[in-house]
Amino acid sequence: MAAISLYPTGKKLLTQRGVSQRLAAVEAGLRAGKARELRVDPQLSLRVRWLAPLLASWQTVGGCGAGSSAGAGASVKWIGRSTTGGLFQAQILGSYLHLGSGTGFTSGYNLSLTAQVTRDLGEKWNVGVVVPYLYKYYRDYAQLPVDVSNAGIGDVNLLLTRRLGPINATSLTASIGLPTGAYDAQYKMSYLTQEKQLGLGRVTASLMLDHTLDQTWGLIVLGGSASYRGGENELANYRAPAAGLWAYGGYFLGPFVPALGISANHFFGHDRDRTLDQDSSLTTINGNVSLEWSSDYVAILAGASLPYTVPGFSLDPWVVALGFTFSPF
Amino acid sequence: MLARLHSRNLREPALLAALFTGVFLLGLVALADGDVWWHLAAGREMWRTRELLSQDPFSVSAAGRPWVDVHWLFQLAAYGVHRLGGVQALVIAKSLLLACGAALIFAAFRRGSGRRAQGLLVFLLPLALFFVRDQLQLRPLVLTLLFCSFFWFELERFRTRPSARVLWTLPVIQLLWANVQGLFVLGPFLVFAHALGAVAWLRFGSRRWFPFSAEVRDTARAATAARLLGFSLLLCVLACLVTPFGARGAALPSLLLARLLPESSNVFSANVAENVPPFSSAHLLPGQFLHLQVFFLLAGVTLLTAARRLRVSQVSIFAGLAVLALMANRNVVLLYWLGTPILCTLLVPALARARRWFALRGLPRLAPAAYALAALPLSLAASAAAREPALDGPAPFRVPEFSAERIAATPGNGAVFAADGYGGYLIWRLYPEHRPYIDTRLVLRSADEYSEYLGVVDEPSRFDAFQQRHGFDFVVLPTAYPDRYLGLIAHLYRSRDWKLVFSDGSETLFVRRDLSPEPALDLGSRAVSERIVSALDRRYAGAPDLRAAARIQFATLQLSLAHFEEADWMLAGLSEPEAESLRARCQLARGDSQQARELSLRTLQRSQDDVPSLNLLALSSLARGESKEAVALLRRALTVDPFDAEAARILSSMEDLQHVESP
Repeated sequence: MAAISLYPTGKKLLTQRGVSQRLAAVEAGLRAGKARELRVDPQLSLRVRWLAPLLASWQTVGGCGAGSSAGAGASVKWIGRSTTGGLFQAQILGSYLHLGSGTGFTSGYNLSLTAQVTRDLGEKWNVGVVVPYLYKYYRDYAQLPVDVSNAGIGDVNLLLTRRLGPINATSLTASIGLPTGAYDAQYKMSYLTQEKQLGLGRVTASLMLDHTLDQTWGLIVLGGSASYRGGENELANYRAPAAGLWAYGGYFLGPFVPALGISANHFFGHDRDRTLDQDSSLTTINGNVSLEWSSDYVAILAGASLPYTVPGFSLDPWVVALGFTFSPF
Repeated sequence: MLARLHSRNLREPALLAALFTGVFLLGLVALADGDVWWHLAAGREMWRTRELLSQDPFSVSAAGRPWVDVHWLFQLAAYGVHRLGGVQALVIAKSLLLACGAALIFAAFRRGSGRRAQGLLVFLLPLALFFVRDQLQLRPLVLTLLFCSFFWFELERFRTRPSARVLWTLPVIQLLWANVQGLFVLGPFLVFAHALGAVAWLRFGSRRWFPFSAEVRDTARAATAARLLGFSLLLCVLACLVTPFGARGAALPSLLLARLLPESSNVFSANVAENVPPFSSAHLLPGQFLHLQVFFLLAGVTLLTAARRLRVSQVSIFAGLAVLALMANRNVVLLYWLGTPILCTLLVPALARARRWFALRGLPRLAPAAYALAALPLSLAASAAAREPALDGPAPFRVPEFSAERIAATPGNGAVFAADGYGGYLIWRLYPEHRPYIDTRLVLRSADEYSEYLGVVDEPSRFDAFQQRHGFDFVVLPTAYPDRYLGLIAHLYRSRDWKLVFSDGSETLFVRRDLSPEPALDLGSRAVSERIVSALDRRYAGAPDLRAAARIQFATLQLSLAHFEEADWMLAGLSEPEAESLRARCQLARGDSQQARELSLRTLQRSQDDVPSLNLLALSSLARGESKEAVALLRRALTVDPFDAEAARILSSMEDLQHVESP
């Protein structure tokens, strides 16, 4: 609400700064002897009350493509136009990971709300920060008739992106995860298993490559990533390194961009909970679907990801997400 | 007196009377909207033919096209009222409907703690509406506001007594609503928001993280409430289909919404004043939506203080209406209409805490000050109503009354090229003998067609080819509200094919040269100027503001036609800043930059931040070859208002000139 309220004031300040720079350039031109006599047609000013044409819109929709990296902890990737052009880009992505609705060992859900703020530094560089808020809920914890939940800030990630190629079609993003999420939450004096924690208590890192093929009808995004997920922490919990590949296609349908994609993830070993290997899938193939609506100001994305274990082809916990991004000022 | 007002018996009727009167007075706005005229024409046509309209009979550009006229019921009612009492009756009926809507919202607060919010509502609702009173026009929107109030009333009643008997009226009202305006979709939205709240409470109400309060008072009946709301929602959605247009009528809101999407490629959003996002238009009319900034700030503070008293339905409704308001300024009134009562409900506990804080410290009670404050919106409304022009006719300068009379008196039935805002009135006055090319029913036009029309207006040289295709006999254009047509007016004035046969400064009527034997009007002739000024003085005798505005418009027209001396003469004796600004421009255009400077400096002595004067001084400095001084003046102007279009154009011209001369 405060941001909405202050938006016009911020816009005015930025516009003031912009015209001041333009005036400085004109003054510099005059000093350099360019057009000392600027004759402007007096007819220019016949319209005292200038009401129309009403306006050119605030900013154009930014470049198409993968937007930015998907928020930490979310499996739904933002495919579409997104927005750019403001002072910074803000993205809020809420996702729901469904762990099962029965009374089994893994029933429950994870909610994550990820706030990502990025800013371009020139045409080639972009920096950002991702702050996730996690709410993990598990039914019948340790097969006891009790539900547990764990909530709080997860690992905060710092992002640095370098765009490559003559039209910046390729982007390489390095991400460093800071150990801000609690890794030692307990229930009745016993540590929760590592996947129920909000972090690992270790620095994590990942490298992600995205290449966007802009087409007249839409876009294709190809990419891959490699992640160091923190290794082993002081509780002997271990998260294995992982790598992934993906391909997405989005279709321009007016302000909408429906997209379909497939991605594959592989973990180089099982995660461990205090020395014990966990029974998690090593390789998954995900079917992804999303729909983005964007205007000059905001973009909204709804998406879902259905992961299947390989081999066996059984459905893993699925994710639905709803995101909102805007580039203010 | 104040002590008596505190007694419950008198307090509530007094507050209700204040709210009713305040909102009624705010509704007493002269008819300035162009849409109402085609609504009336449609009502008249349906009355005459005893049939609904399914195709457009009125305009040249959309003749015969299917028309999903979901407003038909409003149009018949409006035409009936007009037959009974004319324009004045329409305005009074509109004000009564608005006041009744406000009273329904007030009544919804009667139960429980809502009663304490009534006083706040009496202050805040008229105050909020005061800032958007230009949007309280005679449109089907008025009925939408009334129906919103009714839904609000019934859904609040349902909160305290969740039974089917409370909800049965909603589908019935929805059925009416679907046949009145495209915003009928707000009905199901309001029910959906409450149903969502009830279901969310059922599902998550016991969770610690769930930050919302229960949707119904008796939480034991939450499941029943959710079921009833769901059923009511279904019935309301079905009621939306009960129009003469079936599914096409139900789909209309999505089409209308798409036209409001604030994108640069959306010609309807970027070029229709009321469709522009409020914070984008702030650079056109600085400060116009400052009240919306304050409203959002107040909402933010209120939501912070509300903590767990918020209901899902309140958040959903507020968020939905806020999105609509941020998309297009025409929707700000909707946000104020339902957003204000939500804020009032949430503010009450904070005010109660403030009252206790005052009492504990032995400070004076707030009540007398609050009653004095409550009188503020009422006095604002009364003063606004008193300043309105006469209500028995259209607002001055907004419709081509005199051009329509002239066309009606001309034999033949030729088509009319007119500003889209004029189209509705021309239909009302001239149909079926004459049809305008376009009117404000833009839903009947494609984006390409509207772009083509705007292209003709913005690039007048394209008009001749356009005329060859359509063969218009008349052209009727405004000089103001908006002033976008001045270029085309100048083009036609100089054309060998057209002659200006009438103008009073606010409207211009051109007739094809071969159709009219009367001589063309020469606005550079003193005799013509004197005759027109004399007519304007008679028309606006007793209304000096309107008289001055009429002369300024006429001078603007003359200036755009390069009749500088006549424009200067027309402005003589007027002391309005706008008139002085125009006079300075006359002098500059005549080549007398010294005189232009003196006039501008005089204005600046009175108001040192007058941007038009700073612009003009910059122009005059440029004319004298003093570029550096011009840049300094322009810097001053753009510091005051960085969005000023004229200053921006001067800066762009300077940049262009420098680039031209750059190697």
